[in-house]
Amino acid sequence: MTKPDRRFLILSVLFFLCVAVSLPAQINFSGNNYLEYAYDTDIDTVYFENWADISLGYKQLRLGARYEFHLPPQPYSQDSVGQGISQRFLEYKKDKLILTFGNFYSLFGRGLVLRSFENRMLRWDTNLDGVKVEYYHDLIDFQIVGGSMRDRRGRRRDALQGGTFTIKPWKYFHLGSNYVTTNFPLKGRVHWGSVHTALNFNWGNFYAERAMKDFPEGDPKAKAFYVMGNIFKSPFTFLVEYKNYDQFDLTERTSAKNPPSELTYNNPPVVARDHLFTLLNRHQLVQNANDEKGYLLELTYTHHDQFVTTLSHSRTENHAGLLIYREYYGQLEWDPADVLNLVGGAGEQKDPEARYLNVVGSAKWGFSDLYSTKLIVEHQHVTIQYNDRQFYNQLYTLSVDRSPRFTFSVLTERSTDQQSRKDVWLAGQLDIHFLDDFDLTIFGGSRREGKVCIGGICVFRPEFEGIEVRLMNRW
Amino acid sequence: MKKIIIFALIAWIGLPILMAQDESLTGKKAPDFTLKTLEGENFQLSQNLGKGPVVINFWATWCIPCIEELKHMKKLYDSYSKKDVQFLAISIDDPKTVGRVGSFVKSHNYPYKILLDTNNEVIQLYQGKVPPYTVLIDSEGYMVYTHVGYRMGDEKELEKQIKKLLPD
Repeated sequence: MTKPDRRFLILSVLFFLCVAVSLPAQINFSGNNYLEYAYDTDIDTVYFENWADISLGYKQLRLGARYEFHLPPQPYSQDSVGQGISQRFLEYKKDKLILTFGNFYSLFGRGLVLRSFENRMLRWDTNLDGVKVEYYHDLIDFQIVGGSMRDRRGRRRDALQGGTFTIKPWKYFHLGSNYVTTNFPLKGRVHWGSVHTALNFNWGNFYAERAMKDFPEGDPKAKAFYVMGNIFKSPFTFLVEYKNYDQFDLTERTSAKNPPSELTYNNPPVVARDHLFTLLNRHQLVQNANDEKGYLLELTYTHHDQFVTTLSHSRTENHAGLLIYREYYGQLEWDPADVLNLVGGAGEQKDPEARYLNVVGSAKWGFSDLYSTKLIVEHQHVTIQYNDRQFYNQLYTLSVDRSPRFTFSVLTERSTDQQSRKDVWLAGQLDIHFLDDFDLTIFGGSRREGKVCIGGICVFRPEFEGIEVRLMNRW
Repeated sequence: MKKIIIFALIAWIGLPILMAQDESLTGKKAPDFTLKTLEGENFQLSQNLGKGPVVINFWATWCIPCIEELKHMKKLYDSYSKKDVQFLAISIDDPKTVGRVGSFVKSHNYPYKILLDTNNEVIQLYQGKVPPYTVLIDSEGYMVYTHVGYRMGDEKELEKQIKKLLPD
């Protein structure tokens, strides 16, 4: 823990103890704790991570802190072994105005210009440390931020300054702009920004954002464009998204520090479908906002609320016309009875490495007021492009739920890939909900390695064999 | 290992006792927030309290149990929205998938007020980490029930809690 952290902690505790003694009823205490313990029997290694958040509210003020403990973190996390206060903030909220001092997250528009966020599954946390001013009104909204962003190793760089402003002259029409500037140590001062507009009607909505970057001399021209449209005409809905990102990966890479790290300021929409099935999500598009353009089309047909058909197609290529990712997918959801839900889907995914043909399905049946069971079957046929090698992956999940207390699942995966270390993975998982605010997950067995992707950001999770425990509680 | 045990004791037992003397979120004031609706308007919770109980459900288009829960919650909506119970379905879809929320909601005919928590700041404010996450707020603005996850039948417990807040 650094000296300022210690000072902040001591002062905060003293301040709130004083207030708590005099006005206990008006203090709002809350918090949550998330713990992950894993013992990999294969390599005889223990991983232990814990995040504890506390928040103390008094009238318009809210004070919060996060304590992290990694001993050591999971192998796909870039956090280092250690413990300490990783976040602290003071927030003041009055009507439509919010002031935050300390650590915060921020999103401008759809993330083309700035997206500071946390995703624990990816072990991703790019919070800002500084000041944020937000104001929300019927006619205008704005946000001004100033602070330094955290990279994946927990280090901070030069402060950035930026703002987002939206004007809403008409209920259905918004117009706005975003701006960010910071110093890239190897390049000098950099400015980037965007303009965006939105239209919202009962029959559909539309969003477009155009971003530009002003880099120091010698850097290539950079631009990004994203547009999205939805049309609703019962029983159909239609979605179209288009992207064109050219030299717009706003990542500052450093080799000066040991170990080197990356700090990513933006995360534009990836324009590819997220799936509800594991195998379909395992080979998603990894975003490269420096060189990609593409689209997503999705048509949905709904019949009497009980039958939903979805057809979707997405394609991404680079500016030289090389295919990066392509997908065709169709899905049927059918509820023949209140207690029975059936989903079936089939699709093709293709990237420069391989072609994946998928057939997936699930059936859920509520066999009493409190008990239900679910079976998920996923089959994926893979053809490796450069040598025409073929194999398949098959995943089965069978679970039994008892509302609201527990779920027991058996998961098994089989692969005929001869380059894989194993051909069968088998695991059992128990999820328990207890004492109102506690949720415990115990996983035992083996799990295949693979990419975990969210929003075009991917981490590689190595194969695991052993016991994993996750405990979450709120107070 | 010793460090882990000491830390675990502090985190699970010490902190809640020190901070709240009550290990539950229920009974606490629901934090105020402002979010955009699907139609692009601002929605501030504090301006919509006092009319009756409020059910907040955090969900996402990519979350299987969320979709099951939203489907089953429709019946609660049909029965209780006319009794002044508000249903807020807060999508935590990020910029990647938020574009799908409109067509997803319309294709499944969800009747709830849809709000967009695109950077997941409000779910964190409510001490939630993963969807689905349900919070029931009484008309005075206090949280009376929270629940993470969804299993078929969970909506019956929520209904019980809603009934307790309504006059006989």
